[in-house]
Amino acid sequence: MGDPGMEEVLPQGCIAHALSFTSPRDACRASAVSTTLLSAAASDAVWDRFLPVDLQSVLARADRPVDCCSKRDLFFRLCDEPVLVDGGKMSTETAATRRCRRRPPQPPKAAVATTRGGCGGQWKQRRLWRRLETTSAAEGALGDR
Amino acid sequence: MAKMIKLVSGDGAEFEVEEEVAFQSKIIKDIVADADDVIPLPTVSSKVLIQVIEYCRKHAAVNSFPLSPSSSAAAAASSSSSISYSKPVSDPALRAWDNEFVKLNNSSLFDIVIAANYLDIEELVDLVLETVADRIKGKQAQEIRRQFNIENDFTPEEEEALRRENSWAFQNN
Repeated sequence: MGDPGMEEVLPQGCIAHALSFTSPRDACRASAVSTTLLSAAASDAVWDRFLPVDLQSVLARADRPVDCCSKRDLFFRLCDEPVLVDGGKMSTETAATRRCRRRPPQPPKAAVATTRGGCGGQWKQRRLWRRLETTSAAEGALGDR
Repeated sequence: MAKMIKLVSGDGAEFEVEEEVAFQSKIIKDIVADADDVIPLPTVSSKVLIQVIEYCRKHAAVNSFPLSPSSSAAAAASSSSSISYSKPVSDPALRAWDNEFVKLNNSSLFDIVIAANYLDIEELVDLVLETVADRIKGKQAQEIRRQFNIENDFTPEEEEALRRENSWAFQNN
């Protein structure tokens, strides 16, 4: 007779918060554990932490708009296909994004990588799971940047 | 004489603690502001409340006498921010104490983080979840299941599809 499993005790938002302290690789491995962890690992709270701090200001200078449904999609979009900014002079590719690439790179590549942080960049913490449980305005807060 | 607050656990045990210790919990701070000094905590057992009080007592002592101007400035900044995040623990002795504090089994950690979330003690929530994260890092899916007693509810086809989609993550480091 073992202890109750993590999924029986912790809310999904809490599990996501814990995963946000791991890494993109760990979050993807956790996705394969169970349907609950798959869901937790896909949440914006997790991938928010893995995206670079200055990403929004860099994407504002992108040559073409970058449109993604979720932070996870945005993360892998940046890894699979670095975004060109400032008229193609720079890109969002870093050593870290190359490590997380899922497909071979598509040409062209620009000369200089720019963003600070890359994978594992430090975001501010958000205790979103508490807000999900206690406020109805949480949906709006989650989407805010 | 320090002002005392009385906390009552779910199983009826009473704990008198100094106000500054109890105020590590933002929830308790708000309740006491409404002039209520006896605070029932029906969802927190005495076992867990003892551990939470121990943490709060240690951190209240350090927060009262910050090591450096930068740590108290960080505290002021985080309390005025509309987005909640906890400042990193900069005092090495306190970090060492925290590391000892979380040498607990998963079940105990889960109980503490649920209580800390309820009581809105951000640093404690982060401390526990970072510890949980350490027990996830570097593990394959089956190891994570064993560590946290989680049942695999994927079909073999679903699991295979997930591994294919995330194949870069499943190669060994």
